[in-house]
Amino acid sequence: MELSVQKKLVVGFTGIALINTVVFLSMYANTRQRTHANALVAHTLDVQARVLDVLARTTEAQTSARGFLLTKGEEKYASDYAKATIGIEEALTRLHQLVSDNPPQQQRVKEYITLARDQLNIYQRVIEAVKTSDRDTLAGIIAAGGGEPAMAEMRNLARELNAEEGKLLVERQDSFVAAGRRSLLLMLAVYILIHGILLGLMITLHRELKRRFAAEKAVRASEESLSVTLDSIGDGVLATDTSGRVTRMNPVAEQLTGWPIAEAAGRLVSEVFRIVNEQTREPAEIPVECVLRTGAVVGLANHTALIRRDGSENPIADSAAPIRNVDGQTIGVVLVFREVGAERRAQQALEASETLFRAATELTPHGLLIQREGKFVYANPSIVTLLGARTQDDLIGKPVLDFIDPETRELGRARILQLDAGAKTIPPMQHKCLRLDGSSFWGETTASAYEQDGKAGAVVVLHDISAQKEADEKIRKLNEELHDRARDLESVNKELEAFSYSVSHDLRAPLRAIDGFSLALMEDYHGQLDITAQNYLQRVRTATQRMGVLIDAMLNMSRMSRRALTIGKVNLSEIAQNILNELAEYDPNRKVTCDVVPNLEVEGDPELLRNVLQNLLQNAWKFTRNTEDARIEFKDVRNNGTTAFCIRDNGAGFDMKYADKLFSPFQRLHRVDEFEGTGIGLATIQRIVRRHGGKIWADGAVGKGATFYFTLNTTEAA
Amino acid sequence: MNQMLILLVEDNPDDVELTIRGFKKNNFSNEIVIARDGQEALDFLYGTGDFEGRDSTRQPTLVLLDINLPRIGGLEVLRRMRADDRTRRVPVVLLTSSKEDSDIKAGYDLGANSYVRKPVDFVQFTEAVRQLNLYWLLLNEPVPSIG
Repeated sequence: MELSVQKKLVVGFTGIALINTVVFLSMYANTRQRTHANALVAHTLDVQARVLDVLARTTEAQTSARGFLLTKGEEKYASDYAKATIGIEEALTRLHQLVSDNPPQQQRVKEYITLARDQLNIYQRVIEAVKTSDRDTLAGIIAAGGGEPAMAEMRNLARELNAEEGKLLVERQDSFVAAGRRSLLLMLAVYILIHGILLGLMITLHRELKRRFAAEKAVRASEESLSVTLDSIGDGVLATDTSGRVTRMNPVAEQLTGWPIAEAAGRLVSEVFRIVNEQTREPAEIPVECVLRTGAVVGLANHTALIRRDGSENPIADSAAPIRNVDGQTIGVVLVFREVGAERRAQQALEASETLFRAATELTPHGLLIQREGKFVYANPSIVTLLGARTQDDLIGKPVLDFIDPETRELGRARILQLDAGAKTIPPMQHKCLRLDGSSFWGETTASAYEQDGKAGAVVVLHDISAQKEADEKIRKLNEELHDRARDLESVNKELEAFSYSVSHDLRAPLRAIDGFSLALMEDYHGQLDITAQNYLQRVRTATQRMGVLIDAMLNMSRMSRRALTIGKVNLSEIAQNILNELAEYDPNRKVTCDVVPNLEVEGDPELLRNVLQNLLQNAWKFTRNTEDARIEFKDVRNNGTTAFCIRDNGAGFDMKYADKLFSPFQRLHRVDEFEGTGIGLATIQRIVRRHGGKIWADGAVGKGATFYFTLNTTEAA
Repeated sequence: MNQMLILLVEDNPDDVELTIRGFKKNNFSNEIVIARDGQEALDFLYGTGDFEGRDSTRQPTLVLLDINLPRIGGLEVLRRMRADDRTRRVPVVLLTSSKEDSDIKAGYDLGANSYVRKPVDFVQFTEAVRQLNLYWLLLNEPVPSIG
């Protein structure tokens, strides 16, 4: 763990103080110990001195006593003796006291003192005896050796005592020296330790100072760059201290407020930054105050205008935030604001565009949704209604697949995958859709990929096609019915075909027999038949042949009505010309002027249309038989905006009274002996024209010729 | 050269009578065999049934075949003839009483050589038969007999 510089310093100095205390305590102890040791040494020396003193005194007393004895009472020796014995008791007591701390020595001293006293006692008695000239006593004392044995013993004991004390002295001196050495070692250790600590602290301080210098430099640099940054910020920046007084402003702020920082500095922010609500004209709360009150970042209310020092006004947007020091304390507030005139216009344009698109999406009757990752993120009112929801919120966040019937849900999923895989749009598809309440309806969806924030999604349009489906179903049913009817019709046709076949075959056979055998009669029995009989037979043959023609015409008509159309390009003019050429060739005696407008082309069945022209032109040819300067025209005319073709002749014509009978089968307006014919031709061509989706009609008057018009439309009428 | 043989397959006795008369009027003396339905025609052609033992190697020079016949129809007879090696090349002229396209088309598809529509006017019919005979019997080389 890295200790802070302060901690390091505290630890260092505390260490030094502790060490000092330890050193002081140990020095004190050491000194005391040495003093004590010193005292002990002195004590030892004292003991030794006193032992020797006692010995010396005793020896003195002995010597004196001896002298006294020898001199037989010379006074000088008596006074010497007295001198020697004076204070000996005190000396003995003192010695006894001195060794009171050392029991073995005390024992010895006791003995020593006893010996000394015994001797002194002897010497006293000697002195007494001498004085009294008590020979007996003296003799006794001398016989006992005098004080010599005790003396010797005393000397031994003194040596012992002093040797013991000397031993103690040596010990005590050693301990004294050891204490001194310890002291020295301690001093050395402390010296080294303190120097070490001081060195460490010095290094730490050096580093700290270096760091501080660097930090200060960085702060200075950052301050400079802050100034430059503030100056180059496009927004106005104004800072205050905690009392709401302006401390700094950048040039934009100066320009927007109209206050130079030199003048604004130190003023209350409310004086420099005057804002009002654009609509109410009430002074607006300056966010600085709010920040100071709450300590939170504050945005400005909308529609705020800043009043410059000169009174002009600008709409602004701003926000304020507390400035905090490293400890998190608020030390001021920074206010950032900018003019929003341009922004406001852009915002308005955006809003207008938003309104437009909102109208487009919300007013469309089509369901519109936006899905992101398969879930609703937008649903327009139509889809809300379609899916049986009350509001958009009922749908937002729900998987779109939930609204597709499980039967086709996998298809829906596949479509989403297709879009996610990069398809731009996917073609319309019909789904059974589910409403929120679980009921279903038919819908058709189209989707276009729409990625947002890197998430795949799509814009989906949903139509309710239930009505269409219903209509389709109705049409399908109708078609089915129609189909059934067509089948019925087909079988009727088949029956008709079979009928025609048998008519053709079975009715013609007897006719053939009648005609054939009549002819055989006329030829083989010619001689036996009179004119009348022959005439009758001829009539029989004519009638049967006419019946044959009628049957053929009828069959032809039915065939023309039943035959499948083969549509192709048909040049009517060419066909008309060919037919007229054939007619002229077949009837070379007739002189007819033919006028055919060339290249009238239509789409239709070539064979059937040829049949139409054949019929009409043959008729025209036939009915102009008795007309001089016979004339037949084929041309096109405009009729109610469509093209009609017409064939006009200047022949017998017809009475318009019977015009409606012209196209009915077997209806004839002329007698057979006037103009031959079956009465089937026009009925047949009317069917052909109708099958081409056209109309046919006629115009004419008796003796004034006839005009037949027809139109064609290639679509086959049912 | 063998005498020419014509097989007329026709169920209507009137038509048979008139056809034979037509041939006679035109002085044809060829042998004419009449079959009154499809089965009889096939029996004749292949020597079966009533014609058991007929030498089926001798085939007609021309077959006039009505389409609408009892038992086996004319188109079926034609189909079988064309499927059999013995009659594959025998010329067949269909006789029809109708102009039904489907009959004529089916006839040609099955290998008919020509067709004649029996008109009500018998003169026309006789003329048609005459021309047919002329063409098929006189101008056309007959099919060589097998064997």
